[in-house]
Amino acid sequence: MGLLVEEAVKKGMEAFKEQSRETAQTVIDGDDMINNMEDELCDQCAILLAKEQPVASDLRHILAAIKIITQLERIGDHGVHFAKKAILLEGETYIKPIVDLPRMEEIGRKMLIDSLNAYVERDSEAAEEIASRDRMIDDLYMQVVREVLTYIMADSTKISQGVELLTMARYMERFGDHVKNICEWVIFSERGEHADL
Amino acid sequence: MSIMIEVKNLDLHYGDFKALHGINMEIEENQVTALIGPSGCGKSTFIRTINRMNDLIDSVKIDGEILYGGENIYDQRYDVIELRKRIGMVFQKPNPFPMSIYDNIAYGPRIHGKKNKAELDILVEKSLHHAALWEEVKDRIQSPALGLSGGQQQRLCLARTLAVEPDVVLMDEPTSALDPVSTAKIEDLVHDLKKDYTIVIVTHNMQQAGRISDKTAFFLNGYIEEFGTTDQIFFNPVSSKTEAYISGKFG
Ligand SMILES: Nc1ncnc2c1ncn2[C@@H]1O[C@H](COP(=O)(O)OP(=O)(O)OP(=O)(O)O)[C@@H](O)[C@H]1O
Ligand SMILES: [Mg+2]
Repeated sequence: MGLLVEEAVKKGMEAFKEQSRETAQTVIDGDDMINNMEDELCDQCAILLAKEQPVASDLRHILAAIKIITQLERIGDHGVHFAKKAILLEGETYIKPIVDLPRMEEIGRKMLIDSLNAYVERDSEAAEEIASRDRMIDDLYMQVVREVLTYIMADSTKISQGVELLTMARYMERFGDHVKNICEWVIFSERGEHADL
Repeated sequence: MSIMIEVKNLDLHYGDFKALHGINMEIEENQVTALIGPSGCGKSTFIRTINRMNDLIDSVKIDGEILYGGENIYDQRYDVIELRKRIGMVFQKPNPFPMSIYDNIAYGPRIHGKKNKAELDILVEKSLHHAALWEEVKDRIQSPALGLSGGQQQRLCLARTLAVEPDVVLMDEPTSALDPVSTAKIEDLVHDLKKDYTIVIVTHNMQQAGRISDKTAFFLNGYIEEFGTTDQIFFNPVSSKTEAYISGKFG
C-alpha cells in the first residue's frame, strides 16, 4: 500500500508539472485500489487482534498499523487532488515556474518512504528525525504562498490560477503533516507514548 | 485507595530451597490483584502465605512480614483461625465437602459459632446469591454437593468462602478446570465481588488477568519481576521479561 500511495503522489505531481491528462487519469483510476487495500488491511488487523490477542508492543504495533493505513489513504487522496488540478489547469501557462511544489513533493515522498521503513524497523529515533524534515515543507509552503500572492496582486487576471496553485501548496503541506502523523504512530508503537512532533 | 495487606521483604524456604525472594507488595482494598508467571515461579506459594496456609507444610520457613489491619500475621501471638476466617481461599479444583449444599455453606459459620437456624438460612441464601448459584440450586439445597457440575461446585466453594464474611478472597487458578461458560460466570462474579471484597487471584490465562484485575504482579523464579496496574502491564510493561511472558514468547 505504501508503494501504491508513493506512486500516486509522484505521478500526481508529475501530471501537474507536465500537464499530462493521461498520467493524471492513471492516478485517479488507481485510487480505488488504494481504498480497497485500506479496507483489506484493516480487516487483516482485526483478524490478527481477534485470533492472536496480542498485548504490549505487539498490540501497539498493530494499532499503529491501523492508524498508519488511514494516513496512507489520505495521502493517496492528495495524489488524486494533484491529478485533478493537472486536468483543471490543462493547457494554461503557469504564472510561475513549477519548481517549489515538486520540491515539496520530493521531500514529502522521501519522508513517506523513510517513515514506513521506520515503522517496520520499529525505529522511533528515525521517526523523530523524519518528522523534523516537515519544517522544510512548511518553509517552502510559506515561500510559495508569498510568491503567488505577489504575482496575483500584480496582475488580477492571474487570480484564478493563483488560487489553484495556493490550494496545491496547501495539499503539499498537508501531505507533510500526514507523514508526520505516521512518525508519531511509529513512536507510539515502540514506546507506548503519544508524541507531538 | 487504602492498603489492605502489605507484604514486606518476604522470603520463603522449603527446606534448603528458597521459593520466594524479598517479596514486597501492597494489596489494595476492593481491588482485584492478579498474580501471573510461569509454572513453578512461586504464585501458589505466595498466595498461601497471605492466610498462612503454608503453616501446614513442615519444611517451610518464612522471613519478613505481612501486615494486615496493622498487625504482622506472622507474629507469634497472631490468631490463625481468625485470620483464615477473614482471608478466605478458593482452590484450583472445586473441593466441596461430601455433604449437602446447605451444610457445605453453613459449615464455616457453624464452626465460628453461628447456630441459629433462621440466621443460617439467611446466610446460606445470601452466600449462594453472591456466588450466582442460588437460582440453579434453590430447589435442591439439601441434596449432595457432589452432584453439582464442576462449574457449580466451584461457585459453591466460593459461596462457602463468602459465608464466613471475609475481607479478602484468595483464588488459586479458580477457573482452570472449568469450561468457558462457567469461567465467564466466575469472572463476572469476581467483578461484582470487588465492591465488597479484596481479591487476589492466580491465573495462567493472560486474557483473564487482563479482563478482571486492577493490578498485576508478574512472578519469575520466586521474585516479583514487575508489579503495576493491569493497564500498564498489558499495554506497556517496563521489563522485557514481562513483555515476553505476556506476549506468549516464553514460559
Ligand atoms: N510443599 C513443597 N515442598 C517443596 N517445594 C515446594 C513445595 N511446594 C512448592 N514447591 C516448589 O516451590 C516452587 C514454587 O511452587 P509454586 O507451587 O508456588 O509455583 P506456582 O507458581 O504456583 O506454579 P504453577 O503455575 O505450576 O501452579 C516450585 O519450584 C515448587 O517445586
Ligand atoms: Mg500454583
